[in-house]
Amino acid sequence: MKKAIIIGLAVTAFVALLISKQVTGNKDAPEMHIAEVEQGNIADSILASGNLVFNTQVQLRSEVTGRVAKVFVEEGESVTEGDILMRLDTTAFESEVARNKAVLRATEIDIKHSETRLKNIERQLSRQKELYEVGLAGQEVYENLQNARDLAKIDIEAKREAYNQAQASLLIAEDRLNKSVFRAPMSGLLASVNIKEGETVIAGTTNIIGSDLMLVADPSAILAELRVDETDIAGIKLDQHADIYAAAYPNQPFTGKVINIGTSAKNQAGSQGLSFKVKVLLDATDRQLYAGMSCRAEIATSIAENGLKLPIEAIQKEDDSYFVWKLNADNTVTKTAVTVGISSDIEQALTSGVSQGDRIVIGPARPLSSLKEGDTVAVKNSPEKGAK
Amino acid sequence: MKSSNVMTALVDIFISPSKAFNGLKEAKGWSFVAFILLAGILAASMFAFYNKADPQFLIDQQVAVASVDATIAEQKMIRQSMEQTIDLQVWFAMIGGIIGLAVINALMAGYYLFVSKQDPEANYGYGAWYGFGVWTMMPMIISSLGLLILVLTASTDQISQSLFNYASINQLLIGLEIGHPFYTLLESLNIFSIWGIFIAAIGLKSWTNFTFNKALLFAALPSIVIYGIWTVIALV
Repeated sequence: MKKAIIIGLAVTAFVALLISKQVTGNKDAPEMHIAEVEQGNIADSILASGNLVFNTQVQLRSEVTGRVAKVFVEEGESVTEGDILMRLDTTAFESEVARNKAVLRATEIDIKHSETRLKNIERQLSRQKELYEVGLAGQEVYENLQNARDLAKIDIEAKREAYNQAQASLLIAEDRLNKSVFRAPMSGLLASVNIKEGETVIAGTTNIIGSDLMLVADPSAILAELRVDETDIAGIKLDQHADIYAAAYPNQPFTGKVINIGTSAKNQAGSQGLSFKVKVLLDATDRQLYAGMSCRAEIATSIAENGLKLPIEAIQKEDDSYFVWKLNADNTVTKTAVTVGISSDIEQALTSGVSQGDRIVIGPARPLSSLKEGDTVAVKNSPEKGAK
Repeated sequence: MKSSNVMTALVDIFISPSKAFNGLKEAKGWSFVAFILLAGILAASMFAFYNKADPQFLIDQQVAVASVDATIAEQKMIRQSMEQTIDLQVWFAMIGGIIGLAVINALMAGYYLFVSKQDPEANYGYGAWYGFGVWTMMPMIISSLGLLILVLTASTDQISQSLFNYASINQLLIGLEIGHPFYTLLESLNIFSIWGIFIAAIGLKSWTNFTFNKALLFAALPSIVIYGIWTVIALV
């Protein structure tokens, strides 16, 4: 009897333990965010990053080597075509011109000298000819003179070529003198000035690129040079619209159009992937932009116009079909099959299954994934507005 | 008095263990039935648990336990590795549970064989003591049945693995939080293992000429040693 009581107590205690440990879970209806199906445009887009550059820009380099005597401009200054920007020390170039002029004059004098000699020989030759014809002079002397006249003619020809040579040298020297003065090749903005008075500029040769002097750019048109990953390049076409986000204006995009698509993939520094260079010409803007700024771009590759759309998190997938949880008037949910169109990063276009104004459960994700047909949910005011 | 067949023995082991052990002396084959029953119910409760539990919730729980001191990056790694193995956990729990049962019982059988040498008249072999060990674990059947009932009656799939230890000293009496040095120790110590110690003591007394106190000491000694060492580690 006593044992029976103990056993009874033990069983009761065990049952009580199980009841106390009963996992009840949250019986309340889960709080869910709701979005309405809306009509609107969706742009599917490709993301790429790159840098801003001026549409037209000229990099000034030197063709001559020399020391900088004077820089007349400063970075950021506007210049018009032909303005003198800087000048090298011209002493050496001027002396070179003077020397070449002297050489030219010397050859001129040489020519005169040879011409005079030719006249003299010709005079002697005509006299000897008369004497030879009457038999008073020997044939040898006459022929020697003939020979001397021919040589003198050749000599003059050689001197004339030397004169041409000297003239060409003078032109080169004058050109070098000219090139020691740098003029603006176009009107625009001096985007950079990398040289100071007293520095020596080096002329570019086959293997040496030469000193960077200045960058003259036309600031009225700015390009975004984007690096588009090879997997995305197929979607990019000329004239596609792009939103450009410069680092300085992270929330206000600039607009632009694709004007050029690179034709060969390049290895991107610091990454394994290949990318294409795509140029986007920015529309005119009042905001100040500078070349070299980094930027990222969203290029709209396809646009669904005026279709039904939902925030992308509303779309659930089961095997190969898609569905959404439609909220009924009594706050129960119904599983509704939909067919999907294109999608952007945040929105999904729907081609059938729902109609405008339908209320759809969009989250949070955990309870959304465990919803069952006919479940009641509580509508939570979503902090972030769903579909825009 | 002794149990007449394996079915009565399976009841007697809970209400009057000495009867069951007296019967077992002559019918060692009963232990197979007991082991299969024990393993079956253990596997069934594990299967029911993992079948019902929401895998994401389980991962969250396990990451929380495993990453008390981990950085965010480490947590991410732990989470990733768990997500890969979550589908296998049910098999680990079922097969691992049965193998663990067999291995631990093998060690205990060796221990019982050793202590039985204290009594010159007790001359049971290793196999007999292995069967004996199985019977001392029978409270686990009640424990597993309880888990099975808890899982099946749970009204949500958000059930955590701490449900396994629903009868632990920690959950019944103390209520320490995860991360406390004594948390794992007290979670693993439960009323069913204490019950098992008493059954083992009664069984030892029945199979040998030990006094009850001596039998109780021998039955409890492994647990005392293990939990003693554990306590020292937890304190250091």
